Amino acid sequence: MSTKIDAAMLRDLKDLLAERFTELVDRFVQDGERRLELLRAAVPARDFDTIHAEAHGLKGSSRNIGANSLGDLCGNLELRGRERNAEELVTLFAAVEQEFAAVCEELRGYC
Amino acid sequence: MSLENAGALKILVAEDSAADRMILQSMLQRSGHQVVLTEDGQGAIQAFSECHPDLVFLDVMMPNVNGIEAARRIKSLAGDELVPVIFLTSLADAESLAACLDAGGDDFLSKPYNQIVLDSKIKAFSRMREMHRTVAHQKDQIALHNKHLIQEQNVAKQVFDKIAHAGSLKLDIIRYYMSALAVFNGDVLLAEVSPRGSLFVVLGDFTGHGLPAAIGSMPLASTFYGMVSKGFSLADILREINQKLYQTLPVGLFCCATCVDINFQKMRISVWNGGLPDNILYRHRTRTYERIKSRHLPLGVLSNRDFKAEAQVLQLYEGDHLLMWSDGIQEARNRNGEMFGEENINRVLDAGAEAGSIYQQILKRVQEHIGSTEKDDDISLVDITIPSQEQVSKIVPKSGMRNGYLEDWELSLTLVASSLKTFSPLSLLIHVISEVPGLRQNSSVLYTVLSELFNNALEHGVLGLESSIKSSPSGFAEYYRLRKEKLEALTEAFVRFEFRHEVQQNGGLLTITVVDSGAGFTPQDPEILPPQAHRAPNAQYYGRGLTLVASICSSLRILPPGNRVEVKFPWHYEE
Repeated sequence: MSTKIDAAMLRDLKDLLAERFTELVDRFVQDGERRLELLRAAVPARDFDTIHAEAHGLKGSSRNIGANSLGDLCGNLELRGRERNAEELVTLFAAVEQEFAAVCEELRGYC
Repeated sequence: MSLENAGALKILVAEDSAADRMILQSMLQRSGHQVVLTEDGQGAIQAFSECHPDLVFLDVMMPNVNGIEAARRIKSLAGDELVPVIFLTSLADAESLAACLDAGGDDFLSKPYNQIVLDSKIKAFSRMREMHRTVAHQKDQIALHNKHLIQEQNVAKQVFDKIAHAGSLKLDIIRYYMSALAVFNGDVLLAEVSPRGSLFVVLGDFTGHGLPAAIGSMPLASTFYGMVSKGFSLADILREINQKLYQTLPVGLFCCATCVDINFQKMRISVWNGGLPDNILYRHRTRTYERIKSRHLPLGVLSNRDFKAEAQVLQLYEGDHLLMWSDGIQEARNRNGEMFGEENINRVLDAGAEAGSIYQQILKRVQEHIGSTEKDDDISLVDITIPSQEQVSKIVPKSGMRNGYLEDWELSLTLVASSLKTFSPLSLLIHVISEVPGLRQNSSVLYTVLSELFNNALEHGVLGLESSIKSSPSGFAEYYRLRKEKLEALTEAFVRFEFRHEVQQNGGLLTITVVDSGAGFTPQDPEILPPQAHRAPNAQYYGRGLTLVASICSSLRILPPGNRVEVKFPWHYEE
């Protein structure tokens, strides 16, 4: 097991949601995929407003689920969007996509 | 850790991330709250209108109306009600946070959510809402009470205005300043011209404010107008008002007052000042003034047994001014809380100004002192100009033009056997006699006179009882046994009262004749001797009836055959 996700936080969430935990994971995955879809178009187009909004949204969800490194990466991407800064944008987005896939993989393991 | 039902709130959550929405919903539900979920700003506004939640969580960045705009709209929909809006955010920069607060946000909740932080924030806002609701409720209550109070005051004012109508305040020689609702600061000003052409004025200042102070004005006004118009003297009126206030007002509520009787014929003023600041008689010719100090306790403090109605009498000259005010003048405060004070008044009085200008000067200075913004409710100032004889004739109705009191009259009342057995005529007769202003003040001695004359006529005349029976120790009981027995057996008998009253210079003369159906008694009887005459020691005891009457009246005659007693009782106007 890798450590993409804060284990204590995840325990609390499983405790809180009980049988609905799987549903939470599904929603996180779906919501993340929707946001990544939008980002995939926005990054090459330098659509900073969309980059800002979607990276912000994914950052919040990641933190809520205990995926702190994904949250940090999203935070960096969000900052690029807010500051309209294209530096390392593509690299950063690639890292976000990779981390998201890993987090989803790990989450499924908890279900 | 579910909360009790009482702490359960209806909470609106607007969040576009499905997972975050689910986590927050679960946390809120676990704490026992009812949760309404929406996904964007537009949905939040609509849900708010439909569900009226107690608390709103808003994500900042949402599609279709962002969180900041949604907060603004929700706050405006909430109106006076406090609906806390908490932003869900992981925003970190100060600018964004400030924008959230500007839009009406009350707090933030950052991600990741924490149950303990969430619960304590909700608890804090719940307390705040409770407090806000209490304050709002109390505010409504106060507004409602205030509305009632004003309605009540308006009704009371209407009643008061009917009782304390303007009277003679509209006379040209009276100038006064009183606030529109003066009655509710306890000040009252009444003026009326008596049938004899004297001007009576009373300026009263009741302790306290509001309705309790105003209530005292009612008996004061009704007594004043009722009695002045019937020609009663200042002393009679004062005694009656004092008695009424003493009986009706609670302890601690009384009336500082000055009452004046201005006799234009004799150019004399009688002033009774009980507790008001010095009244000023400002002389037209010399431009100097006399102070009429309070020499009495306020009205309604003493019982009539201890009450003194003696007035101070001063000579008047044409153009003199009488000035009266309540202590509101001295105590009028300016913005800095300084009182207008005695010195400011004295400065006006000592300047040797023309008599007619003093009133305006004092009023102007007080108003300048308190300024326009402050309320000047407590100022009552009165000025009376002493008119010339030509002016008097316009002011004062001719004597005798007014009615409503008894002048020359005769009255006869005959009680026959059936009435004599059951009825005492004394109260009835005193009631009639009291309608003569000058006799009212003597009603208690006249009661004694009538009582003695009636007993004499009934017991000695009609029933033929000998007062000598009473001279032995057991005699009293025997006397009253016989009295009762004879009265019960009475068939043919009468006692007749004859009154004749004539108005005379400065007063009147009341002649009372009491006739009975008895055989009469002889003037040699020691009972009827004048008081200075020599009598046997035992005669004094049972014979005091008519000697007492003789000492009160100016004359007492026993007319032949001795069943007819005539007394004369003269009276004079009090000055």
